Amino acid sequence: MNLLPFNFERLDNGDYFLTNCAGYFTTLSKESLLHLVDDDNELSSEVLTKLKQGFFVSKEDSYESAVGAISSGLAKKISGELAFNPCFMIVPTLQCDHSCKYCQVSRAPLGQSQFDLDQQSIPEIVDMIKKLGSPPYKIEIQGGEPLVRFDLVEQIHSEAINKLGKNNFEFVVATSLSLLDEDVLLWAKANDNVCFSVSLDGDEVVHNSNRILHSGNSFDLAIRGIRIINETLGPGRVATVTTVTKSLLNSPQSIIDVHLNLDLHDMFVRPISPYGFASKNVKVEYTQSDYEVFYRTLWDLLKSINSGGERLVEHSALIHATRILNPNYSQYADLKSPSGLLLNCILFNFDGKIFGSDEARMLQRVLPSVDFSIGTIKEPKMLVNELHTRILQDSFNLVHVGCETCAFQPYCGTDPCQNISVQGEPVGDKSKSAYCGYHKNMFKFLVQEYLYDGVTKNMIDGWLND
Amino acid sequence: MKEYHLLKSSYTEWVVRNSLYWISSMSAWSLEDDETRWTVHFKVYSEDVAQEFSRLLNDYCLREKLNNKTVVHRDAIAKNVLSSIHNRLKK
Repeated sequence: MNLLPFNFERLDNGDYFLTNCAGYFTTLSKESLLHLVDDDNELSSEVLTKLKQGFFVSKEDSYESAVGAISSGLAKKISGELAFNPCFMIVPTLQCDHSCKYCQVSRAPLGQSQFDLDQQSIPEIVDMIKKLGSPPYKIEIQGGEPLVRFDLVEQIHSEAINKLGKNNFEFVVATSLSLLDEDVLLWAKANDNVCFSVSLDGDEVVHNSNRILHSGNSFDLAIRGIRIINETLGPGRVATVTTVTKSLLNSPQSIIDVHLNLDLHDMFVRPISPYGFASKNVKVEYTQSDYEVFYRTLWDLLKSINSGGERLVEHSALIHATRILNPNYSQYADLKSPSGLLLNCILFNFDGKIFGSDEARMLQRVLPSVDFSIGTIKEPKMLVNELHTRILQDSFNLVHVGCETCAFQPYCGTDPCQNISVQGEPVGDKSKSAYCGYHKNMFKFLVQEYLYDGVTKNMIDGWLND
Repeated sequence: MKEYHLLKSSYTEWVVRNSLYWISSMSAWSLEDDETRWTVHFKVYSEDVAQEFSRLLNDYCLREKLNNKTVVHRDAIAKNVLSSIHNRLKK
């Protein structure tokens, strides 16, 4: 019997979670794991069968095929993650009516038109999207608050219809909805490929404590906007993102209530990012274990709701679960190895610069002396900036110290921009990395829940089959 | 500051350094050695650090044993993967 290479992680119940580099996984008791590594012929035939099926051991006569299966799985996974399939982000303006506590990209006050995109560059941007991508193109409008320059948003959309074809692209506007008006609604109603992505951080007190709007009540405007979009445009046209701040930690029920009251059945919950401006403005808000406690409570509430017959999907959990159950899933740019920088995102900034990710433009504002761009709309230089070659080379977690022995490595990714932002270099010390701590905990939590809790298994399987 | 001694005959440098890597988030440390033993100086030493360090040492000993037994297969997989990706990129 040949023992094949694998990594392992101890679970809370004492069992061990085993994975190999192709992403096959199984669990073993501690006793069985010790027998397996010691090769002392004490394993039951049932356990041996399980290990053979996952390519953790092989008989002499099936050794070549077992090694072939692992190699082929890993090659397919790496090829998939190297595929160039970008989401195209456009920043029409940095102007914003909010001054949020944890704003990740900085913002400019209203009236400062020097922070707007030159409208003459829009045709060139869409030409570049057509050259670089393939249908269905995904275009995401970021800010600032993009609706401050709704005229530019409309023009980008109209140019995309002309050059890409009306049915060949999705168009997502990331907005607080504070400036949603009749004009925007009529435009969105006439264009069914337009969707909105809205931050919703909790109930009124929590949301407004993060999202400062001097001209009004940010929460009320977001809620009103979501209701109007649902009523006017129908379901599925608005999605939410919840950034967990300290004020939400003790009330996970509130964020669920807000969603269900709005008849929203999808949520995306994430911890606060340690990036650039967010980390400068917000002191260390909470620890990794505070977030874990919050998330476990949220999860119990989700189980109760979903098992009661009401569907409410938490998409960050779904993405992590999908990575475990389908190691070839590589659609989520923040959880990829090599990193999704450039491969999964091209961002056209208001100042004409192009970046390989939203995080890279944040880094540019934090570290202005280093050029993180890939040139400008006028003069793109994808291959000239060696920084990107270096960052991509250094973003294969398979060979990172700390990741090479981690059982969750096949499912996890890397975030070189976060490492540069926090630790000053792209690989980072994983023992001090917020990215590592968060994703490792999520994977471990979901593995334990999925493999040992029938309610969770049914819930995740249901989400996956939707 | 707490001194912690490990016998070189029981723990290799790979095991000790990998274990200490993950302790960095709990305590600053430094490592010295002589002919027969490793000496770790922990800046902060608590029951939690002791338990975690002990667990890490055990896990990395097991990983080291596993690595030694599978190194040939790792090489075979790496060669197959590189060859497969090379062929895909050539197409």
